[in-house]
Amino acid sequence: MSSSSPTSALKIAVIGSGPSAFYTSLDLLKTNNPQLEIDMFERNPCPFGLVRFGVAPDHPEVKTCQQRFKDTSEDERFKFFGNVNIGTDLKLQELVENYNIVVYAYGSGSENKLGIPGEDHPAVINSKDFVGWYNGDPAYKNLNVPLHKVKNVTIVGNGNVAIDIVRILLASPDSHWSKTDITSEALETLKKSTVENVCVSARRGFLDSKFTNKEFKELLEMEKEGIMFKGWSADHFQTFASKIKLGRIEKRRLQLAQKYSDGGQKVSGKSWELEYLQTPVEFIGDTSDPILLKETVFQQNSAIMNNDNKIEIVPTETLTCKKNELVILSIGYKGEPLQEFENLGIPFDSKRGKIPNIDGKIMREDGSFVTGAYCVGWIANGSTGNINSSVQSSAVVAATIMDDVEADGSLLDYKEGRNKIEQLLSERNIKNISWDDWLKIEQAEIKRGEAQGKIADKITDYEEMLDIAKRS
Amino acid sequence: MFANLIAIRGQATRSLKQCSSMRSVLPIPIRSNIVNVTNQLTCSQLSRSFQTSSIALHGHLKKPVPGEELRITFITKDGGQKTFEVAEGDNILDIAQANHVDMEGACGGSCACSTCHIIVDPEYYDSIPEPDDDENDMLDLAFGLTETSRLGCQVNMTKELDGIRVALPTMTRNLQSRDFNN
Repeated sequence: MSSSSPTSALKIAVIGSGPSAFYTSLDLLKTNNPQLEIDMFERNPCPFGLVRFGVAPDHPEVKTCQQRFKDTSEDERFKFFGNVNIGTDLKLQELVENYNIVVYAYGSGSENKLGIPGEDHPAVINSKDFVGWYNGDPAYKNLNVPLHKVKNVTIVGNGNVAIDIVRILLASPDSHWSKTDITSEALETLKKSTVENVCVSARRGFLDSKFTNKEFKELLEMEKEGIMFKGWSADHFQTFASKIKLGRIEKRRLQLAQKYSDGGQKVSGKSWELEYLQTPVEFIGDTSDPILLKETVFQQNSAIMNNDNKIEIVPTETLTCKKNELVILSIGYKGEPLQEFENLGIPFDSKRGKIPNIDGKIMREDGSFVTGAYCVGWIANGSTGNINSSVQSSAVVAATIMDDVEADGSLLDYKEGRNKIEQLLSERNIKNISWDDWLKIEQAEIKRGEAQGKIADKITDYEEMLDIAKRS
Repeated sequence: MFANLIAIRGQATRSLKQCSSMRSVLPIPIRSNIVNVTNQLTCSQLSRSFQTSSIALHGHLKKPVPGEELRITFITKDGGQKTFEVAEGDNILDIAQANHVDMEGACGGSCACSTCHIIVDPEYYDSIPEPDDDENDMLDLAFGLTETSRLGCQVNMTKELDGIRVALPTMTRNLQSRDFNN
């Protein structure tokens, strides 16, 4: 990757500024090619994507990677263009024309749907909105979650986002959340919350749980804070524990569940539970209060072994009702194509909500590749994975790009790049946010946080961010 | 819960079938690229010339006491080797970062990710105190896991580890394994 340095400039546009966008840029910058130019376009004034708007406020260690992302700003070959929307402020075609390579790293913008009656009820909230709300995404700042009227919450889906939401709903606002960068609005709402029980429900069985053991353990350990795992009685596990050989991850998950199961005794105070093998079929509203639900109807599933020795989850005829006033859907996100994809001949897999690719190289249906077009992160791989997978897939995509540049001289044809784009932005009077502008916004957030004893107090209004950036 | 058991049973069968990907039942690394790295570690090592650099003194590293320097060799992703003299107590992530070895430490060494995954020379693996539950939980999520995988941030240099060799896992790519000439 570092063996040969191209003789002419390599100009790369990156769309998006989440972890995959940054790690890919960092990997490309490692090549030490002095003729490299990377411009990163972010529609929001603030960078970092889901590191800012996804990672839970009580996981500051996960956000440490932001420090690493700042390394890019010390490299003159890299430039950040915040507050620039591709499609409106700049046409995608203009990027394609003015850069040798465009990297699509804009993530998954919409959510999966269940497609069942009651899903549009106001008390059925998508995790994307809910997480965005407590993490200060301006798009969701006005999400009114009636937690002061809710006692039972059901979360559909059991990935780490669901586990984060359990902590949000049950941990003490004062001792657990008040010092984090959770928004002040969310903190106030949590202080008035009457939530007592959270049920995390999944279609498949325990061993197919999507959460990782680290997050599971963290939540179980909140027993110390009076947040109890309802668990199951010990004999549930005895029957198979001796007969079946499990992998390490499954074994550990089971051990954790066993260790913290209270034997099915009645739990007092705040609690949470895990339910499996059930699919919601309808959400039923509360007739006396239109902003609340009464219950969720679940169809029970059964796990059977098919002819290929694979487990299939099949619905049974048994229906059950779960009393809950609020439901949060945490069933994954879906990417959307950019407006100009079709015109520019960039393929999109609408069913999976991602751009078809091999190692990030965008691939048409006939197996051919789109020259100079790459994708990385959730828009490339679907909405799974964490920082580890970002680091991993970014390294692969960056290496693929460098190999292709070495193999195909036409990828180094002269392009106007940054000069042209800055000229277009200036002609259109688009006030893009530079890295220094962003640092001013970040400083303002830290300062506001200090006054309240918090790590930072996020600004949840983009106009306000733009105002701060304008100040000298 | 009976239904859960069925799911667990079925799943376990699947686990058994997939057990070749499980660290706990595997005596040797599975991925071909990892095997190569390990081969390098144990065999071709001597054919390469060593380049020992004295340590860059920044990050959290201590200055080694003269005469008590410990040596560590990194096998980088492209198969190169870098050897450094370090002090007792330094952890491997800090050593790598202070010396510009290409190792991410996305969570800053707090055992909250597995981006500082290293593959330890089997000869030295048992000289490192066993990983705790938190490290194992993170290792479970690492790419290209082997029997001697550890997280760099959790391994501190000791006298027993003098001369240790650790490899950075290589990337797994799909394109290179496909033939596009046809």
